[in-house]
Amino acid sequence: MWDSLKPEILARLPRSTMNGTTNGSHAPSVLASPPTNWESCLEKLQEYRSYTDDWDGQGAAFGKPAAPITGEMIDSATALATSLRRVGVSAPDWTFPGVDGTVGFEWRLGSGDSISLEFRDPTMADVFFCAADNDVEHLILTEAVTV
Amino acid sequence: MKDETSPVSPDEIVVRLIWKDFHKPGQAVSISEGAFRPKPNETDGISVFRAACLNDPRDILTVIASEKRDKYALALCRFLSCSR
Repeated sequence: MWDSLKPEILARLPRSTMNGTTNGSHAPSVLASPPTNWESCLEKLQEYRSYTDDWDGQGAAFGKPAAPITGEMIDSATALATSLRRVGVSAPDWTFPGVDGTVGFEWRLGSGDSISLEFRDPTMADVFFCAADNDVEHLILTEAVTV
Repeated sequence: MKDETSPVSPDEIVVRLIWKDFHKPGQAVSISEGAFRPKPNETDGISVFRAACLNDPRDILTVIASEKRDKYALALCRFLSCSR
């Protein structure tokens, strides 16, 4: 799963060296803060397995409970995180849950730009390259399906 | 305290509920942009509370299930910044 990643997306994600520090000389993007580690990202994803119906506690007030985050979604996000880590991408600054039962990653770059990767479903993610001047480029990352 | 039906003035402070995973104290940028992205039910803008209509910004936590309130941070923003 997620063994093949779009080069045009991969090339724009911030890179880290093996010891976790940002490699500014070769990195396509440099993080704004010292990189977090992939372990904390993966731990967060596992935590989301406990996010059942109305996990954010806003359902009663706003009428639409947050959707549970399925095991399939977490497995897919974990697989993508593992693939990104393997090819040397820096861990995201933020790993977050979505009230629609999705998960996402966000990198904040030193340039003021940011990159947000948000799963639409376990096989597809939206990637937003957000420039500091509010210009946004949207690409889609899809999991190759073998038939 | 202002009435909720009164017009919003440019210098007002508005408050956004931030789920814990969007907030990292100590980082260069401590709040994720994702915290301000509209949720699926926010079809005409993001939900914020007007601080001027509250005794204390923390009062908005009462809309959250009691066992989840400690999972939230409150982001206080100038209305002018939100409406750019």
